[in-house]
Amino acid sequence: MSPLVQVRHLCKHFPVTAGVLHRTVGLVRAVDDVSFDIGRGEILGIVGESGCGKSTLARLILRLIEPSGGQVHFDGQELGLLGKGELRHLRRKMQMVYQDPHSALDPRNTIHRSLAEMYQIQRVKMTPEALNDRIAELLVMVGLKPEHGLAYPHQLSGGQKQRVVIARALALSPAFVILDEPTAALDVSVQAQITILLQKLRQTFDMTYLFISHDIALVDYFCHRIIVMYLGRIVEILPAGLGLDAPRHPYTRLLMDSVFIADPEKRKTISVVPGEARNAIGLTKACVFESRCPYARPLCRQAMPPLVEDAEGRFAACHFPLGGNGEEQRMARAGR
Amino acid sequence: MTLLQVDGLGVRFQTREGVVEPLDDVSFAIEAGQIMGLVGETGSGKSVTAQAIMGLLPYLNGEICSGRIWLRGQDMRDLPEDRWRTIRGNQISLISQNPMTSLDPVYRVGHQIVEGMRLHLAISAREAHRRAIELMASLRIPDPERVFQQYPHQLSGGLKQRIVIAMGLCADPKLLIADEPTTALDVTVQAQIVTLFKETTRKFGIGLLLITHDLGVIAQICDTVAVMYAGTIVESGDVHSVFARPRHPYTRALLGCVPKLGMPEGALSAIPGNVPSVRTFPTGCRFHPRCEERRDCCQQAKPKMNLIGREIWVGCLKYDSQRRDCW
Repeated sequence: MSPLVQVRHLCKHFPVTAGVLHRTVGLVRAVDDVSFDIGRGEILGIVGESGCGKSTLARLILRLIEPSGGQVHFDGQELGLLGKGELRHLRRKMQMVYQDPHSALDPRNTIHRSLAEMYQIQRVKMTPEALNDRIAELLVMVGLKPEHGLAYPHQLSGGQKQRVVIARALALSPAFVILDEPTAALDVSVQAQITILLQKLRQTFDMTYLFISHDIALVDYFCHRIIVMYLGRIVEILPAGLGLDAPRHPYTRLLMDSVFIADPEKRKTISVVPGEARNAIGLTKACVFESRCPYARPLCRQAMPPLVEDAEGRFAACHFPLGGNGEEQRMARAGR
Repeated sequence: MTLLQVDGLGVRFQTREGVVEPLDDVSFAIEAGQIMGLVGETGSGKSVTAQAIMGLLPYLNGEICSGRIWLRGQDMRDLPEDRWRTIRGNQISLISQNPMTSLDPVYRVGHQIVEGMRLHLAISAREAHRRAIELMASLRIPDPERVFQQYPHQLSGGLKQRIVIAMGLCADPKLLIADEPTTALDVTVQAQIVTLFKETTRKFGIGLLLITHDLGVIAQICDTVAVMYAGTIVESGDVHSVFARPRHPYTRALLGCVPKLGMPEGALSAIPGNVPSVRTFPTGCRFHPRCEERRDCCQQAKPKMNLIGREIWVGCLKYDSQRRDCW
């Protein structure tokens, strides 16, 4: 069966302006030449640090913003070719859960009204009784009680609000849901509740998820496949659950090495010399990770490596990938 | 002499809706050169603990209603404000969560470090400049002379947080309190800053109270840990013992909520229910409505801290020898 979502050479460049005349002085390549597929029923994770373009990518896929180039195909249809009405109709099938449940709900609306709005916007014809039943059903589905429909957002805890946001995303029975850091604003114990709820709902309703997070341990646990982004580019695509020996790209290695494990017997050695992601303004032709890469060599300054598949079916955008080819890796270390 | 000793601390706030008591019977100690982690979820009282130790409660309509805080043997309760001014900055200093709100956007960052030094230490501007550069270099800020002349907006998040740490250290405090110092940072930068905290406390021989909700950070650098829930400490002691064998049901449940790399599917567990707010703290053991092991007596009897072995304290009726009747 064809993939549910196909992303091809997707780009989003924002102009950087300066001076009183707001002349364009450069481009932020927020998303740059990104291509991947999401299979039906798959949970695909996107991980990266702030400014890597993961949220921009989510908005591009739902076509909440116009891309600078490239296409998105959803269920065989190219979104760029659809008219406004057709796009709105298709949005029933694709929904999004946002990071901050406190700002995702209108404080003046009851939960019932926030959920009912979904059906009004999509002009779904329902009797008031059927709507009430459906909303009660949605609330129970996400672990709340039908009475919560009468509450206002401020009367709910953060975890309960996020459950409402999830219920809203599920209201129109979507096939595809983008989860943009759905647990980042929540407490650890509540984060685990929401993660488990999302897993259960996906199985029950046979949905496809795109899960965006900065927490590589959470992505590794929740997803089937992981895309690692750095400054608007995909640097690696790897299967989840491989543990710590998996990465081919040095940036993935760095991300995994930066995660502290909740076990004092597994402390890590971290370099305290500052190294931080640049912003994506005015990138040169060099590899995006070159300035921070411990294995960088002259070639890395001359050309951005393309995302290529190796013999084991793994994708990495690196001239000298780790792990897969031991010889090259050793050479890279020696050449430092 | 113990650097900081907190003994049975209780805190009360006057609010428009009445009196609330966000802290109840909180006790712990920090030695010089040691890092203690204070871990807990929203509303557990971590930040209020920091405010009480910094003597900031009067500014927030709050007061210490029971217990004592000792700093190097000196009783800090009811200290007049002019005495506090010689303690804050000089002896204790606080680093807050968001580096951007701790820095003034219109002054060069070097000036902001020097300002603190000259306020707390009687030194010349030239001497302060020299010390500021030295301090920045020791925090591994590259090219400190150049960074000294820059404004906050010109610096990355990690460098800004290093400047805030330098401001906290500028008057040689004995105790540093860091309230969620890495929450606003990216993971790779967080790793550097956390490591820098460890290096700095060892180098200067100061005590660090690290407040966080991140169990990974606690495990990485702390010597001791205190786990807070709903305004009380439920378990405290040596970080290796607590993580290897968590005794309080909350500590155990909390550790089960953290995803780890390579964890098999279905291995993540959650704690049912929600974190109670300060107005809805349950009676008896405050964790009992969410506890898997609760018994009838947990609803009424407030558990006291029980010493296990030489250094682990657990606030659970299961470990109370006088409560064998119900457990």
